Amino acid sequence: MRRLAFAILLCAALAFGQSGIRRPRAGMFRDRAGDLRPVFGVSGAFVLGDPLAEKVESSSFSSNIGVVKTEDRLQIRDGSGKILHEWEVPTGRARAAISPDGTKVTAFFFETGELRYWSSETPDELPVAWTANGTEVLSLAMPDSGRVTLLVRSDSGIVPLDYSLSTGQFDLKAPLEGTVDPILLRGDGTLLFAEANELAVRPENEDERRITLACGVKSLAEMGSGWIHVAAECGEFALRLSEDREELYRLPEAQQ
Amino acid sequence: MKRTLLAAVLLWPSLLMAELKLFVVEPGAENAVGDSFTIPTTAAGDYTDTVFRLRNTGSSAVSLYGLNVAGSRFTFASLPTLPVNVASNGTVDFTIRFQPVTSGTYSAYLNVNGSRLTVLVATAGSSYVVTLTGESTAVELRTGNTVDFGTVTTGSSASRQFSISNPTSQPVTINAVTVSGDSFAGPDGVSAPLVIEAGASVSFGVAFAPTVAEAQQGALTIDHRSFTLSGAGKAAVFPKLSISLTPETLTGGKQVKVRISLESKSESTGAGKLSVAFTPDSSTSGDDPALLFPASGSRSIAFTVTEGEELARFSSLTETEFQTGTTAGSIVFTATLGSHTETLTVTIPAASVAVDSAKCLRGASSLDLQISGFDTSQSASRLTFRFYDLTGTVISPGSITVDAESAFKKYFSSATLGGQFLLRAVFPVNGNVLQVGAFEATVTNSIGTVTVPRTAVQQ
Repeated sequence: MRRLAFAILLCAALAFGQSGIRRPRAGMFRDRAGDLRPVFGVSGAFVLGDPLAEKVESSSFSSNIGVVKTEDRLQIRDGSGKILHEWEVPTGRARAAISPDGTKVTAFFFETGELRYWSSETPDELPVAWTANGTEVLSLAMPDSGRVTLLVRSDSGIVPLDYSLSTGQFDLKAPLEGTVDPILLRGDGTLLFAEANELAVRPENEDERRITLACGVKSLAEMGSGWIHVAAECGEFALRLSEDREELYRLPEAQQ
Repeated sequence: MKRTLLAAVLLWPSLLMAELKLFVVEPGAENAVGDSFTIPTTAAGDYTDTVFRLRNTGSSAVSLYGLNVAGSRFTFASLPTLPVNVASNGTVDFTIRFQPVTSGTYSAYLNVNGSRLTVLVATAGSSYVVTLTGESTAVELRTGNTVDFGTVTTGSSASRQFSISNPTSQPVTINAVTVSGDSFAGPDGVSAPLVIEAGASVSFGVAFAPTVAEAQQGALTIDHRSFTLSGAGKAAVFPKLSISLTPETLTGGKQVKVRISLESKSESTGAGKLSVAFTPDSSTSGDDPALLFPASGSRSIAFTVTEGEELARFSSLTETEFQTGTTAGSIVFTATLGSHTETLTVTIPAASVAVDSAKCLRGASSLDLQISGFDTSQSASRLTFRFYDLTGTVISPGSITVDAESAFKKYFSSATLGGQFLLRAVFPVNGNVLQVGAFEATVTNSIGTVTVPRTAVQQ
């Protein structure tokens, strides 16, 4: 124990090295106009930054990395929005996810019905993982860097489909009872879905909780730093989930 | 017909005719008329008014004592009182109306002071149809018809929808669609010139938004066809307003609800504005961009009041969110509606630092501690950290104190987010970093000290 105490070389001055004070950032989201917008601030005191990209189809961010689908590009951006990698991909709608360690990216393209993936270890796209024309993928999550879970619509409801990137094995799970689209599957297994004016939060192995909004929800996306972007008919919202509660705040409207 | 027209032609001194030249008056232009003039195709049963102008191009005055249009279905819609003395370069305007009742080709002579100036040629047949459309009804309009917008409270508006349809077998070109009149606006949804294909139609709206309480008129003009627009402005009568906040007492970093109540049911429908002005405490570095109405993304937001209601609406909702920001100071809410102005002043107090989130990430040989929050007083100064091992025992030397006053002062002096901050403290570790299980921290400012409770270190 004594050895540890001596080992912690405490910051004598916060200005040194990586230490310091800066403005907090809540994440990134695709605004109503289709622009990628940074959100600065802490709970209930948000300020929007200038757009970083236009014609964004979808985005998904963790605290320090994110994946953005534009018209014909898939981009990996850091937490500040800087592009780290970029690939040419099929046009149109897509769902994308990034692994918790930020080393793998998967994306499903509606136009071609392809599930593709990339790794930070190789600059090029890896061989096509799976093609399923006509499959409606509602959400995509990567619980770890070797596995992707797709929520697909089927006759029996919304069904999770586990896919191993290393073996190519599928594992079709039981339908998710009582769920509807829009739906978001998080990497930790938490499900969010919206039904009329209610937003349901169903953590894995826990009871479902519901939040009432003033209007219907159109889409859900990971915004970063634990925040989820809720695009509703009456505005844009940011939702933070913690172990015992949910906090829902309205995001400022973008000044176009 | 021809014999009658020819009989009407009288010979007059050619000098007189050379001085009075005929023009047709069109939007923004005055075009010379030659030996003949073609009036736009007019639907049987409708009419077309064409404004002509006589201009004296001579150097001396000319007397105009005779003006006559000779031909079936042609009349004067407006005529000057004759005789009239037309000065050099002076003008006289008059309007000829062509009003056919059956399809066919028509002509008439236009005679001035007994001499033929031109031959008017017109065709009556199928043309485009202008319709006033309602929720369940549609009324075909004839040229000159009046469209009533009813009585509208000043500050609010009423609109009417129109359509232009082409029942003919040929495309129809519309060169101009204009709306005139101080309180009338439009057309909304169509811009001329445009071509309407055979069997197709276009729709557009016209709005009446009176600013004064009196009867008003305007005109919708589609090429040569004009329709009268009428409406009456009514003075808005609104009850007194009051602004309320939930919760009533504000603190920093909150989204609170704002509501505007009326003293009694409103007798009028109208629109108002709610705005805020912020004066930061002198001890802080200045304005706070997070202080705003999220629904508008700015410091003002529009609201509406509906006749018979006692609450103002923001879009469709009876309350709206307001972000209090993270800087100590004074906020003045001002609501204006008609002649009423109501203000409410509230204070964001200087308070202890508020922590929004705190985490400590374990690296290979370091601990990365991040605390985000805000300091409304912008006076944070002292930090203390305490680390615990996996058994919950405080790691020696216990509390570690850091004087961060100058670092915070420097940050806040150039801050662009009011009192918000993200503090990142990286602690290099030489030993087994896996033995560090939790941390605790305090942040002190001029008001007090806040403690970040013991929190597990994350992988």
